Amino acid sequence: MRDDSQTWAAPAPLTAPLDLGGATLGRVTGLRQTLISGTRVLSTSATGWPAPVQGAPYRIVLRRDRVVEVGGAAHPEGWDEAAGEARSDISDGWTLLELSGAGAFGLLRRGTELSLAEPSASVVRKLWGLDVWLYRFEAEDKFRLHIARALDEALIGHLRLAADLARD
Amino acid sequence: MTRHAGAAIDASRKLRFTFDGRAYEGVAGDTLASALLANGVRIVGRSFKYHRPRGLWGAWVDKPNAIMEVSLKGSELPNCLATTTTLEDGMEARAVNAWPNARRDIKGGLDLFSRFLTAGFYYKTFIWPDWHLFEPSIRKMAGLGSVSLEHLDDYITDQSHDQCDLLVIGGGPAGLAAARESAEAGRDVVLVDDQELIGGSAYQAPDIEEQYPEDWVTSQRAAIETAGGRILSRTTAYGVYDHQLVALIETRAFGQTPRLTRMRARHALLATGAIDRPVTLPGNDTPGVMSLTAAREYFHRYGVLAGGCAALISNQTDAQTALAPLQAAGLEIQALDPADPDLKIAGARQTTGVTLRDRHIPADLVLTSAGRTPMVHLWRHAGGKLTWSDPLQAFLPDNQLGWMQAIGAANGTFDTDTTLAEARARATGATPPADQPEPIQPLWPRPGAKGRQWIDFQHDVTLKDVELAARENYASVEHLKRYTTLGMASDQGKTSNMAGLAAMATLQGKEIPQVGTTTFRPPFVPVPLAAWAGQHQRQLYHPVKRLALEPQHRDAQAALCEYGGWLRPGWYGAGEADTRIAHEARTARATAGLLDGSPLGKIEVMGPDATAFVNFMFYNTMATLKPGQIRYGFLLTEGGIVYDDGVVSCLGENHFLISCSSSHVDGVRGMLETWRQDGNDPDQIFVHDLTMHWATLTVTGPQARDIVETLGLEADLSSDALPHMRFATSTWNETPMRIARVSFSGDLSFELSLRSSMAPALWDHLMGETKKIGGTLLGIEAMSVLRAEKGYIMVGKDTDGETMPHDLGFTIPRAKKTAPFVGDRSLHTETANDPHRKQLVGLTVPDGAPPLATGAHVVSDAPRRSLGYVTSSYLSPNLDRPVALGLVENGAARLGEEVTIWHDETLSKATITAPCAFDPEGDRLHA
Repeated sequence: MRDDSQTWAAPAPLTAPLDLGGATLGRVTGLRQTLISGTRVLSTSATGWPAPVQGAPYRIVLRRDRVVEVGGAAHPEGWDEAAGEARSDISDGWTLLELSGAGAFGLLRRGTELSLAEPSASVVRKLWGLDVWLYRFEAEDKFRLHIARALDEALIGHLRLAADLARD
Repeated sequence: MTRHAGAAIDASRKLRFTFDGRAYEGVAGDTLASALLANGVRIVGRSFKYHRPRGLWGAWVDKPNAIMEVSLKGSELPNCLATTTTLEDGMEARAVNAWPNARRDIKGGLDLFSRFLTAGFYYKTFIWPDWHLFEPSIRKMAGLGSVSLEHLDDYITDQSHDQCDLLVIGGGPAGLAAARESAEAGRDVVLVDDQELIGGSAYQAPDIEEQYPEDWVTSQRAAIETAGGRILSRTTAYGVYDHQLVALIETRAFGQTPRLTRMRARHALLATGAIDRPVTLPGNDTPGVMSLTAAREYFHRYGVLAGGCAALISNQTDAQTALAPLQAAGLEIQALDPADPDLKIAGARQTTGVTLRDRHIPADLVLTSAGRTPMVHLWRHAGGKLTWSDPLQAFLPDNQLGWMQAIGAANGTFDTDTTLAEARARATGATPPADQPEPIQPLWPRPGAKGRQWIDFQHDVTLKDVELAARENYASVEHLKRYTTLGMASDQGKTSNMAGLAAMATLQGKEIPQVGTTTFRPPFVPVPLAAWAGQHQRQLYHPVKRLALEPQHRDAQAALCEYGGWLRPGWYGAGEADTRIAHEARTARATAGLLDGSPLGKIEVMGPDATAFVNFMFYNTMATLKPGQIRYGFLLTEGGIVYDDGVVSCLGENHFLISCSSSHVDGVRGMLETWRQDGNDPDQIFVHDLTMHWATLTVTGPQARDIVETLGLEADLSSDALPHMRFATSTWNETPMRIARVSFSGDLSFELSLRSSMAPALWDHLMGETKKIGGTLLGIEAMSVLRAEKGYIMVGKDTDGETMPHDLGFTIPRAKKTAPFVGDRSLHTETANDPHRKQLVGLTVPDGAPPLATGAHVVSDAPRRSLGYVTSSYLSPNLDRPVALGLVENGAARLGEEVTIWHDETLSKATITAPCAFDPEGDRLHA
């Protein structure tokens, strides 16, 4: 097998907010993310696109039987027969990023087709081909993105490059 | 250089440039072509096959031959079309396909052999003794321009997505009028035009709605923008794709990457105009022969008069009127009967006029048009149909698409006032007034005529080539295209297709619509490949998944390699890889090894039907699993083929953990989601992929327990309490931990899983303890050796697209499992029962022989044929001999048989054995 240690740059974790020209990219830490599946998960308030989410905890919709609770309390994991819900802590599996500023939407549109005029019940998107959960948070120009931890380096790389190209 | 007053561009700023090494001067707003024309340059390129001199036929995208390599300030781009390349100060242009220059091309002599180089000559000529003998030199001669071998690191295209209510394609009178009308009605309008100075053909008109063209264009532009419409100049709509997606490419300053926009348009108006068709007559490719529209465009837009004395050959009824401004500027014009069959262009390197029988009509410019062809390319990309207009002798959009409609010249509406009325009506959804086009006389190629008459100017296809194709029964236009290369050049037949298919229609005695057109495909104009790639290059092309412990692995000098989409340690430490791998494999067997197994799948299945579902998904019976138990199993495709293997842990009632292969996690998750919804009740089964949340560290080797015990877990790790294939939970540093007694090495092993953020701390602890007892960090390569010693398979390496579980020795579920499972039926077919199926075996070589090559074939002696092949092969540092696995026909019944191995034209011997070569009793596994 070929040694590709030099082919791939060492990861550069996002430890401080990153200025991307008209937008700022930061990492949100310390919020528990719980994946909850069940036939009744949409009976509680949950958000899709593009209405901004307010405060924490909140729930975002992945599909009709699946939500992610962000910033909530710990839940017993596994199958809850009474509630009819499957729950799993995924806090370490998904990196939570926040992109804000007047240029944020323009950057996101470089990665996928996105319209504020077309609502969606789900926050699941492909951004530059990467699976993300994307929604607005508290403000019109503030977006949160969840990305699988093992691919967060790629998403941050795409956003950096998109910002460079947008400035060019 | 002379510029006439009234040009649309501002000719006040001078620019210097060179062409084929000679210095010239142009003005801001020029294209390379207009600047060359202004300087009196008549030969701007050479044709592809015969290297004939070519001048300027068109003024924009309808120019087939003015292709140049252009450099400026260190940027060099091949295949720039001179008519669409905006002139910049300091540009150095050079004609492609010509040496030393376009004026005197050394290969121009090829034209002397043209009678031998007709269509299809190389198909016929280079067939003996072998095409491949000639191919390299022919390919070297073929092509236009050359690509720089330098990698342009910064040449990355900015891609974006956009949407609009109405996309207007083309910024001429029709497009501007429609965009304004729609924008002022409150719609989200985007107008794109490929020129820097929008206006299209507007500047050729004496006035529009009683305004000077420049003023009219300016007022439309201002009104559109005031109403909130967006105007994108230098932007070409080059393709229409599914679901109303229109690809837009914005040209920027020379050397800068273009910008690509994927525009989703709810409605689109096609205002792309029309181009002149060449008149097919002898010598019609001679420099100085120019389209009627191009001459007007060069004059009105750029202020350049293309000649002093012109002959006019056109069937357009308004041709002379249209040329009145040029005439007023000093161009002498003599109109000739375009239908006269005896017309010939005179001159070789530059036209000297027109010959009509014994009469010579002197001219330095021949303006021709055989009618106008609406630019319907995008319409056809969108799937629109064409109808034939007899009065216009052209194909027109039928305007039945719904979301897209054509207006103006693209719709065959050539009169300006009618165009404006039509555009405004279409913009608001109204029905436009009926147009009564003035008919033109057909003016098509006349097969059988004497002389060389050019159909395709870039690829040197003549009327005689079309006749030859028809004689040889390449009668379909698609066959005609491939046989003669008509329309296959970078201009994609913009000027040649109509003449070619008209000639073929005549040859077959058919009407033009009966012959039809070739397929229009994107891109409309050449687009750099970088525009499609966008940001997806280098590390962002296909990003690898990164381990939470990658910094620790780098600190430990890991050689990071790509395995199944993950960047993982192949081995650790500096030095020869084989030495390091052997050391790791030997040390892990002697004491212990520590492996980062985090990419292993961790997919949980929960819900009331979870047990039945897992049992259904796996070949092996999982329904009897009790909490705390682990079982190995296969996931099969419906065809009964092994898709993946892994272990299933029962975490509790209605709760299972599937640990599948690292590289198959995404596939297995998809498979589970698919079957969950197909034949099962999706409300009773839920699948959570938690692979990223949990990190897994594997401690393996005879002293593995000693290392794990240093964690101080409350779980009892003894073999009695936690035997092989058992599962326990515990906590470490107040963090939940899962402990699985499973092994891929064949030694005592513990797989420890905990949340990824705690992995570094666990790694540091285990690494310290491992090193204390003389253990090793273990990379994937050493682990591959260990598992091969044990005969453990890797799915996809030791299996292929035909392997079923009974080929691997797992026969019981196939015979006895009564519950349904995926792939069951396919395991009982004639194919599945074939006694010659390839089965997993071990292979040993004679003492002292080197390891077998992976992929080497096991062959029969006579007749020689493949009986199977080597799937894995290593030099085992623990057995001190090569070990190998393979798939061999009826292999299980051949244990002990000596077989012949073929690899790279050499033969050797091997003996078929059981797959397991190390600790076959499993004592070490159950320690």
